[in-house]
Amino acid sequence: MSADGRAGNPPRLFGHEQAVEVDDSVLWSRAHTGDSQAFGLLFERHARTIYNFCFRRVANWATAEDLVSLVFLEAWRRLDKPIPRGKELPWLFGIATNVVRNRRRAERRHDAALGRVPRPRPEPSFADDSVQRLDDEELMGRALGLVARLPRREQEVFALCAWSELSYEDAAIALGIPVGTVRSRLSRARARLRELDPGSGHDGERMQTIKEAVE
Amino acid sequence: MKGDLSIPPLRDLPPGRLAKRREHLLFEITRERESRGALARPWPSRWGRPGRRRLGALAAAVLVVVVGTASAFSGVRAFFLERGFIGLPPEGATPSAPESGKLVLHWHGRSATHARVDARAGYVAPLVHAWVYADGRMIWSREGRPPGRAIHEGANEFTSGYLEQRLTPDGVELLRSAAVALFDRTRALLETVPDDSWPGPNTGLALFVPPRDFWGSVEIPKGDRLLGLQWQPTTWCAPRCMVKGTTATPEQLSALRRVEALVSDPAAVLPSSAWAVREIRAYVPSHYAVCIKTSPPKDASDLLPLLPTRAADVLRDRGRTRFDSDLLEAREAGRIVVLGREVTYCSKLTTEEAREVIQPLSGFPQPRTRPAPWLAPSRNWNTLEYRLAEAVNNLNPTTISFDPYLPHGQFLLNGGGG
Repeated sequence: MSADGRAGNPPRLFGHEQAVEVDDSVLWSRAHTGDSQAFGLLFERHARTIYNFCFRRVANWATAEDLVSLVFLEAWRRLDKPIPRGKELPWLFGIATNVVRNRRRAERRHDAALGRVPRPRPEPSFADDSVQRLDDEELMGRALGLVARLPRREQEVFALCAWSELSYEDAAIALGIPVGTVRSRLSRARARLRELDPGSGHDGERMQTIKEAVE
Repeated sequence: MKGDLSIPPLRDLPPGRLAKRREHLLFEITRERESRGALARPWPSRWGRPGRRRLGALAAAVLVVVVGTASAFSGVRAFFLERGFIGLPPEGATPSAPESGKLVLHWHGRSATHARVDARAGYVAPLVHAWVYADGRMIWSREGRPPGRAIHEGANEFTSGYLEQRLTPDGVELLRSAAVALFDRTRALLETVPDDSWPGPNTGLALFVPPRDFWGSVEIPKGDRLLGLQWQPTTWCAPRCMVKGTTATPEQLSALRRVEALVSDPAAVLPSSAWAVREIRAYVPSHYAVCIKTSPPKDASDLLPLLPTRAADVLRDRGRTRFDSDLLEAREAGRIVVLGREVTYCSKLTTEEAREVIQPLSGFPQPRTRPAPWLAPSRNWNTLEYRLAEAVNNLNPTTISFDPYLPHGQFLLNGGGG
């Protein structure tokens, strides 16, 4: 019999951090003072968001996973940079944008070894959602192929605002540019994509289309 | 066209990876902090003398640059090469050293240790390759991830890619002696073969084993040759045996299972004294086998024009080895039909030369296969391969592949998987 009176169910002890949601700014400050566990909490909180953002920039889940690690390591190296309170996530998006950009530069220089890792043989016993992930990569590769026809700066704004649903203000923080510039770049990106988009419809319940994003 | 414009839904990191990534991140942070801490220590008082202050500041600045660069590099390397990879390593990855090594043992087969029952596929066992070298390196690859024993270092969900660990001399001897014990127990069988025609892993003599011991082969050096022994289930002998062999005795089975357990799950079986570096890292080769495969056979000079000019230029004047083989197809009742002949030309290139060949190939398609009826066709999972020309006469398409050279100077064509 356990302390809470239910056989087989050990009492669950809640620490302050688990019972009360500590906001990102507090964790960021604590990380700045050397609390790596606080930074670990930030990682747990935002890794999924950054993972999906990176995937939508590279169309490869394995590469996206590597990039998430690089983004957070780079973020830790820049903890002493002043960030507006509550804008830690946009700041992470900004670092992610730079990490993806740097990776693309390196890729152009030599090869796409990481970016075009051959797809695994789908043996279902080892990962149930692997086939879906393979489909994701093909689908995302096609979408990126279209967006890649935009200038790089417009691609970045589009990825942040349309695919990751950042506000103009947050995208401006992420990219270190004025809000007005975000608006104008996004507007140009949408206009170009409307020209490029042959008129897609909504493709299934869970899919988001560029057409939705440009409207 | 609407499929071209859709983007997939959000997904979580694969199970277990979030915790592993967090752990690595905190490890890297701690390491960087320690590096910075070392630099932040006050300089000894003798550096305070006026004449040396400027020199000291300069030296400190240089040190910051050197340590900072090294730290950043090691951070990137740790993240990228903590896992195996397929194809070429990221630029700047440190190749495995030394470049060449003397092979002590090669094991290849389906692992009974990691076998399990799958709802759709039945009783499945991952394919394992392991090479052990006299210098202590153990290079291995394993297909898939057994549940609960995830290979976080894997290249993808279905293969570990080539990974490397380091054994102590005791560890090498432990593995070698286990393999030798297996050979000792099969000496009577092997001695029926003349000394100058020892069988390789895919020919010659076999031990017939119970079905759940699967199949495999082990090789150890004998003089300047490799001595090989293979095993296969007795069920493969219906309606007739394709190789000469004998049913394994209990002693032989025991020796076989011991070797299998040692090479396919060394982390669980080997004592800590066997490990020089237990941490698993990607094996980064110095050279790649770049192979063009086509059927029906053509001359190599007829295949180079299929490549972009830059890639063809790298391969044009390189030495190449030609491999000829039959294209076989299994039919009903164990009947094998020869569909035609296939030829493969392989050149040995440095990693940087291989990059030069790959770069202009980026727009080429990657062949897709359907390994099981219930699965979607997928690109090859264990090798980097591009299709240069479509198949003709129902044979195979013409492809170019990139496989790493191992320290003993051999490579596995197309990753040796499947």
